[in-house]
Amino acid sequence: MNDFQLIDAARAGDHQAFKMLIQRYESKVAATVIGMLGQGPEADDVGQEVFIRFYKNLDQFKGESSLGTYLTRIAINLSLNAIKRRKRHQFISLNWKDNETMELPDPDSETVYNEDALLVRKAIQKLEPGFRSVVVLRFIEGYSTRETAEILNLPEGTVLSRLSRAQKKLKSYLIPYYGAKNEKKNLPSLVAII
Amino acid sequence: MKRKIYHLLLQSFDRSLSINEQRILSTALEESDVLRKEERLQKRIRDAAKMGPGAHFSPFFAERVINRIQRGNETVHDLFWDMLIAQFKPMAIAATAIMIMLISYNMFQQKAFNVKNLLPTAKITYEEAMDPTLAYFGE
Repeated sequence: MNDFQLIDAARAGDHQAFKMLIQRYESKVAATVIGMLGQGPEADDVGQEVFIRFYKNLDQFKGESSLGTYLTRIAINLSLNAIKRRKRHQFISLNWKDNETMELPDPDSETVYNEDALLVRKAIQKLEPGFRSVVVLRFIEGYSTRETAEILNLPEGTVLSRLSRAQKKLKSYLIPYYGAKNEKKNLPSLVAII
Repeated sequence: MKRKIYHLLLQSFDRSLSINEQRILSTALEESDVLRKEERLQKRIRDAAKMGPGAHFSPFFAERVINRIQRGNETVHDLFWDMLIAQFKPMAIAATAIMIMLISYNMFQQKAFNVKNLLPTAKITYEEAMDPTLAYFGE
C-alpha cells in the first residue's frame, strides 16, 4: 500500500494503517527531532506529538508536498516549540553549555568515525535554534536549500546565509576537539587553518 | 578578498556557483593550502553529520502513539478533568500556603499555641457582633 492509500484508510479509522505510516516515517521524524533536541525522553514525546498532530489533521493533508516533507515541517515546528519551552522553564537538557567542554573520544578506538559523527551532532545541538533547524534539514536530512527554505518558510537567501554562519560556528566548536584528536594521532593539526 | 573567497567556499556546498565564481574559487584553491584544508574540514563536518547513528525513538514507538490516539478518542471528559486540575492545582497550592502562613502568624501574635488562637476570631459576644451600634460605639 502506498502512503495515500494508507492515509485514506487511516481517515476511515483504520489504526493499523496509521501504525504502518508511523513505522514508515519514524526514522525520518526521529532524525529531525533528535537532531534538534538531542536523544532523550523529550525527543520521544515530541516525536509522538508529531504523529498525533498529523493524525488530528489527516483531513488537511492534501498531498501538495510529500508526506515526509509534511511530517518534517511539523517536527521542526514542534521541536522549536520544545526549545522555547525549555528556555521558559530555564532548564537545559543538552548537557553542553557555551563554556562547557565535552569528553573527547579516544582516537585509537575503532569507532572513531562514529564518534566523529557524535561530536558533530553535539556541536549541532549547540547552535541557536534558527541555525540548528537549517543545519538539521540540510546536513542530516539532506534536503536541498530550496526545500529547506520551503519547509522553514524562509527565503532561500536567508537559508544560505544561515548555513554559512552555522558552518563557521560549527568549525569554531569542533576545532579544539579535532585538533586534539589529530595531535594524539600524530597528524597535522587542523587548528592551523583558523 | 580572502573573506569573499572564504564565503564563496562555504556557499559552494549549498548552491551552484556561477562560472565566474567557480573560476575564482578553483584558482584560490589551487593557490592556497589553507583554503584547501578549510574545504576538507567543512567536508569532514558535513560527512560526519550525514553518517551519524541511525535515528530511532525508544522501542514500541508506533504502539505508544496509537495508544495515545485511542486513549484520546475514548476519554474526552478525562482530558477535561485533567485540564481543570492542571488549572486549579497551582491556585490550591497557593491558597494552602497562604492559610498556613496566616495560621502561623496568628499563633505567633497570640503567643499561645492552642487551637483557639489558630484563626483570627475577635472575642466578642453574639449580641455585640449582631448590633452594629454596639460594635461601633463599643470603643
